[in-house]
Order: sequence, then C-alpha cells, then structure tokens
Amino acid sequence: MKFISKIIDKKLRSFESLGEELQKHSIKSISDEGRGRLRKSVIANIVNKNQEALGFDTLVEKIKTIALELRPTSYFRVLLREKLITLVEFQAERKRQRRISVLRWITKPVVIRKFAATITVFAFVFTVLFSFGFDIDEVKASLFTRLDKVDGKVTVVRNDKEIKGREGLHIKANDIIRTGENSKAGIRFLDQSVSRLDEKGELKVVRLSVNPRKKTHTVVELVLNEGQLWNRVINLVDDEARFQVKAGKTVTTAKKKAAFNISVDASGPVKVAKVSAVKNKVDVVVATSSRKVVETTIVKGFAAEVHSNEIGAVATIAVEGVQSSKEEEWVSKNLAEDEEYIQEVKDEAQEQIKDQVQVSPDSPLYPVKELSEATKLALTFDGFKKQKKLISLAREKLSEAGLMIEKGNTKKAGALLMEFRAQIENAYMWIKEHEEADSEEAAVIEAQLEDILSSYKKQMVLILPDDPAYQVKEAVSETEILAVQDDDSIGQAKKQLSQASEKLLEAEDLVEVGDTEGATKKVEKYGEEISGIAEGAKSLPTQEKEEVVSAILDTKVNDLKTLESIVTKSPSIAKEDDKKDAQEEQEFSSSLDVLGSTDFSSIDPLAAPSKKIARELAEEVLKEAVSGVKMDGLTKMGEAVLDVQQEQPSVGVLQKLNTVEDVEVNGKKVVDVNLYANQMTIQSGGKFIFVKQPLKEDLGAPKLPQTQQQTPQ
Amino acid sequence: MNPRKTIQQINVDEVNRLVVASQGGDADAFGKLYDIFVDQIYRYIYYRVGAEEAEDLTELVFLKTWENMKKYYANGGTFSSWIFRIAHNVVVDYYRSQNGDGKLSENIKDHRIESYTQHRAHRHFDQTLLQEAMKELKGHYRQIIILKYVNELSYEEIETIMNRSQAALRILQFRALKSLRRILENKGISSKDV
Repeated sequence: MKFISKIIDKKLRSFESLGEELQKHSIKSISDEGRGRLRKSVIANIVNKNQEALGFDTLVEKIKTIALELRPTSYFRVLLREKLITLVEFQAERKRQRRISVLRWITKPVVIRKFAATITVFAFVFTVLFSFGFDIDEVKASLFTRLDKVDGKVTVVRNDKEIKGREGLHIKANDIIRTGENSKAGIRFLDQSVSRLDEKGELKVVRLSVNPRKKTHTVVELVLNEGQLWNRVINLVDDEARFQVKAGKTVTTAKKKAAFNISVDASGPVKVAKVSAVKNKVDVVVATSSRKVVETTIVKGFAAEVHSNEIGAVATIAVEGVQSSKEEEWVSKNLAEDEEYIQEVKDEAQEQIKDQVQVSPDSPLYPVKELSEATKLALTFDGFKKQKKLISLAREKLSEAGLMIEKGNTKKAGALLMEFRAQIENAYMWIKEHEEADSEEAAVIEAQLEDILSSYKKQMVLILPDDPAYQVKEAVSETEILAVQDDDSIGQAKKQLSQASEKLLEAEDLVEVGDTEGATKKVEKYGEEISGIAEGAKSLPTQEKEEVVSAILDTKVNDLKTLESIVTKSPSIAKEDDKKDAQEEQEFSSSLDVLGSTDFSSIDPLAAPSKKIARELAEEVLKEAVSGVKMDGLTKMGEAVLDVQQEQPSVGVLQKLNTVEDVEVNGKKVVDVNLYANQMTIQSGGKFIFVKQPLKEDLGAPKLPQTQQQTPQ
Repeated sequence: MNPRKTIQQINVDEVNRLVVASQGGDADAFGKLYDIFVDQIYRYIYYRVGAEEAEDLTELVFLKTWENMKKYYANGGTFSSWIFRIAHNVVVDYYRSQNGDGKLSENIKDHRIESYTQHRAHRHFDQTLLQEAMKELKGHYRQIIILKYVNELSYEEIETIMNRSQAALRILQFRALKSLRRILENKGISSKDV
C-alpha cells in the first residue's frame, strides 16, 4: 500500500509541475487593435470571395492584360526624357554658377568691409554677374551622349573623380575619357555622330549642346590631348551645327558629313597632330603663330600634318600617301564599324516612324481612325489648338507614308505625302493670317513646324535617290519652301540655295557608293538651280538684290569645297576600283585562254565596253559636269556682283567676295578674283572667265553683259 | 529596365535610392525614376482623361514631380503613392480648367448607358472598348479601377492617393467592377468574357 501511494504521489507531483508550466504560458486575450485588424481581414476576405463568386477575376485579368499593352510611343518617351534631363542639368548648372559667382564676390575684402552697408547693391551686382556668366538661351543636353562601346580599360574623369567606363555611361561636358593599353572607347554623341578613341588616348569633351528651340542646331566640341581619334559625322543638317575637334594648334570642323581621323603625338619636344580626311571634307584651321592663322579645307584622301611647340606651328598639307599597315587597319576597321552604326541609326529612325503610326493606313481600321480624327477636329473650336492637332496629324501622315513605302505600297505613300503637304500648306497659311493678331500663337505653330521638318530632314539625310523612301525626303524638302512667304524673295532665294547645295551633298554621297551617273545628274541639277536663282536676282529691287547676291556668295564658299570633294577619289574607292580592274582583267585573260588564240575576229566589236572603261568614262563625264557647273556658277556670281556694284556699291558684298576668294582646298586657292570698275576676271582650275558690265553712263541702247570663258594656252 | 514591370515588381529600395540621389540633383537618377514610372503614369492619365491629352499631362506630372522633389519625404508614404497623388491633382486641375465652374465632368454620370441596351452586337474586348467603358464610369469608380488594376498599386498607396480608408476602398472597388461589367455587357461583351 505504501509503495502504491508513493507512485501516486510521484505522478501527482509531475502533474503539478505540468500545471505550473501551463500557468506560465497562459493564452493572452486579443487586444483591441488586434481585434480591429482581424475584423478588416475578415471583411476583405468576404469581399474578395464575393468578387470571385461573381466572376470578377476574369474581368480583372482582362483589364490588366489590355492595360499592360498600353504604352506611350518611343518617340514621346525619349523626347520627354530628354526634356526632363535637360531641365535637371540646366538647373544644376545654374546653381553651380550661382555658387561660384557668390564665392568670388564675397571673398573680396572690399565687399566684406562694405557688406552690411551695401547689401542691396550686392544683390543687384550678383544678378548681373549671374546673367552675364551663363548663357540661358542655350540649354546643355549632355546626357544624350554616351559611351557606346568599351574595350579593355576605359576611365572617365569627372570633377576630378575617376569613373570606370562602361557601355551606356552618359558623358557630360568637361568629362575626360582615357583609354589604357590595348583599349578602345566608342562615343555616340547627341547629334548622332560617333567617335572612337584608340589605346593610350585622352579626349576631353568640352561642349555638348543643342538649341532647345531648334533641335538640329547641335554643337559638339572635343579636345584630343593624346592618341588617335576616329570621327564619323553622319547627318548634320542645320547651317549652325558643327562637330569640332581640337588637337594641338589645329581645329578641325565637320559641318555636314565627314569621316576623319586625328592623331596626336606629344611624346617629343614637338607636338605632331595629323588630320586625315577619309570621306567628304573637313575645315582645318591652324594657328601658326599667336597672330596668324591658316585656314583650309581638306577633302577625302588628303591629310594635314601640323608640327607645333610654344612658339608656333608649321602645317603641311598633302595627299595621304602610303599609310602604315597599322594605320590602314585602323581606318578600314572603323569604316566597317561605321557601316554597322549607320545601319543602326537608319533602323532606329524606322522604328521611331513605326511607333508614331497609331493605325497602319492599310489596316481596315484606318477609316475609323480618320473619322475619329475628323470628329475631334470638328469639335475643336479653338483655332490655335486645332492647328496644333493638324500639325500633329501631318507628322503622322509623314510617318504613315514612310511605313507604306517600307511595305512597298508606293501609291498609298504618294497619296499620304500629298495630304501631308496640303496640311503643312494650310498651317503656313494660318500662320500668315494670324501673325499680326496672335503673334505668339503663330510663333509657337511656326516653331513646331520647323522642329518637325528639321527633325525629319536629319533622319532622311542618309537616304539616297535609289532608296524608295527618297520621295519622303523630297516631300519634306518641298514643304520647306512653303515656309517662305510668296512676297519674300530673299527668303525664297535662300531656301532655294540651300536645297541646291543639298543636291551637291547628295552627289558627294552618290560618288562614294559608286553611282557616278547619278552624281552627274545631281551636279547638273544643282547648276540649273543656281543659274535660275542668279537670273531671278537680276530683276529684284536694289536692296533685295544685294541680299540675294550676298546669300549666293555665302553658299558659294561651301559649294566650291563640295565640288572639289566630288571630283577627288578617296584612297579606299581607288583601291576598290583597282581590285575590280584586276579581277576584270583576269576574267578577260581567262576568256582569251578559253578561246585558245588571239583571234580577235571572234570577239563581238559591239559588245559593251569593259567595266573599267565604262567607269573611267563616267568619271570623265562627272569631272566635265563639275567643271562646267563651277565655271557657269562663277560666271553668274560675277555678273550678279557687278550688277549690284553698278547700282549701289556694297561693302558687304565685296567682303563676301573676298571670302569666296579665300577658299582653300588642300592648301591651294580654288578661285582667283580680280574686280575692276565694271569688270571682273575669275580664274579657277586652269580656266579663265572675263565678265563685263556696261557702265551706267554708257547706257544708250540696252546691252547684254559680255562674258568670255577662256582656257589659257 | 523592363518597361512592363508592374508597380509591385519594382524594387522599393532601388526607388528610394534613386529618389535620394535625385533630390541631390543627380539627373541620371531622375532619368531612371522617369523610366520606372512613365508607363504607369501615362496609363493612369490615359484612362482618366483620354488619349489626346495623355502625353501633355504626363509631361506635366513629371515636371511637377521634379519641381517638388525636395518636398518628398519617405515617412510620408511611398514614392509611387506620392507621384500618383501628383498625377491625380494634375487630372483634377485639368478638368477644372476644362469646365471652369469647378465641377469635375468625370463625376457626372453618363446617361447614355441606357441607350446602348438596344445595340448589343457582339464586340471584341480590346483597348478601345475598355477606354469607352471607363469613360462611362463615375469618377471615383474609374479611379479605383485604374489605380488597383491598371497601375496595380497596393491598398495602402491608394489610401494615400484617394484619401479613403482601405475598407471603403474595397467596397468601392467591388461596386466599380460591378458597374464596369454592366457597361461592358451593354456594349455587347458576353457575360462569359467579363
């Protein structure tokens, strides 16, 4: 019995300890806060279950799926991003400038002494300093420049801090890019130009800017301190746009299109900078001393070498000559990479066009879209808003035309281009009607139109006449003339001159792709247009005539350079031609071997000439065309200048004539002009022109100006 | 950056880091914030006011976001709720400027709904139809559907934007879906598809 009670006690004691344990971990009651949370959770579950019970999950899924497909167009997204980043950069720079201005001012002892008494004066001067030191009209858009390619070790120095170079890194003004051994950096600029820095190079980005009122007005300025830099400028369209590289005492500028290489060797006591033009042409300015400057244009196949030290510089301009195998490899590799890059740019432009198209014109929904647009327009009573919508629709028409061309529907594309032109014409008429009463609104519409046309022009620069999209390019070009009012002869002449010059640039491109016949046609067309403009100027009143003649002289400077470039064969093209000739000769020799004899009676005498002969013939025809157009153009220029000088001598016109005379290509003058009272002699390319205008006192019966073209013996 | 990321998939820490950098004047960081939110803000504006003004108002939202960047503090709610609050205010201002009398037209019920009952041809549920249907919803119904299902914000974030409790939001959401479904059925969408 005692034994059993002991066992029971032991058991009871174990239950007691269990009881004590249980009491320690008693369940707490729920707090008010917890109760509230639980209530909400329960209600939420009930609501969710209701949704599921009534099938809202299907509806919700559909909403999500459809909504996710909605995105802003790439064009809008990119444009807005650019605007925002520009704004952020602008404000950051303004703050920085303000800090610098304030710092400079308040550390002057005189200011510290007089600070308390002259605080209002300080505020005024601060404002003046701030507005003087920073150009607020020009907004920096540096974030649209980036490192496109990084091979090996690339460093970017920004505000004295080193950043590891990586693809996609945004490049800003004042950044310094350095490449290590066996390294290379590719930079894509905001104007779509591209540069590649070779190993052991140092490049400083001095300026990257875009005019917010005219986005094709871009400026890129670089300084190459060391190494080798390849540059490809593909599509600058604005007359004020430029791409510039400084190296030693040399400044090289590309204004439209160019491929050029610059190298700097600063290892010795004399710095050697070399600029080689590989495609098109570049302007080179060399500071030979502190007060003297040499300016010339070098065309493809030519190079300028400048040796400089602290005292001065010596420039030598010559044909590129034989390059080392390393240099040759560098040039060919970059040319090949450029082809890929240009294709990439064209594809991007194409994608942008597609993004701008809401509904394809060949879609059955297109009439619905048009009806919807027409309804919206009809319901827009504010004239200004209506115009903005119309311009937006016009832009869409252009993109739709581009899309139709890509799909091969040229008929539809043509119809769309006509609609585009009609809408632009209406917009310019509206501007004309409202420019007095609603000048601000008219200016906004005009700026919008200019922006669209210049942006499309930039995209279209890469399109050549053999491309189906060329008709879009022509449509944009034609509508530019619409911007000028009918009674504005000067404006019209300037636009026509600009378009004529573009024909020369196209001829340059056509020569590059081997279409010599196409280039000849463009050159001849240019000649006709320039002739027409000069003839038209003769019947204008004196003041307008002077302005048009000035514009002709301005254009002549660049046109002369382009004409020289057209007739110069680049080394790469010459090499290609040699290869083709060698191949053709081999084929001919093989065919003779097959014939087994030199019996030429079996060869058809009416067969087409060899490719080499055909090519050389075409090149001769082009040279003749260029020479003819140049001389005719100079003759017309001479007549126009004499005409102006006879009526009312103009210092401005004379100064511009001097500028034409100063044009140098490859270190040699292109034109020699001598002006006497009523006559002018012009010498160029071994040919001589004599232009004479009858003096005013001599005028009895009307006489035609006498023009003689002579070739010296 | 995957442009089709929903708000839920966006890394909150990353956003906060970018916000701090932007407040310090880092343009790169602000650009990245823009990339993250542009699609969502555009959709929000698009479904609230329509395609015509969507781009202009989206631009305005980001300009105001930048202008007020320094005023944003993380303990005042998430950045996404803050930027959507700005978007909401921009839309409200827009409607006020359109009407001039202070009334918001989006809150006026559209009585055209009844007239559609006689025109129930079968239609495909697509972008156009969704936009049409959304226009016929009451303002706050439309807003909750956009914020919850188009922009996929959380209830906490929507609470900040719409100034309503989460419980109220859930009830509103339920009524909004019911209303939307009725509109879609009137437009010819089969009840099986919604």
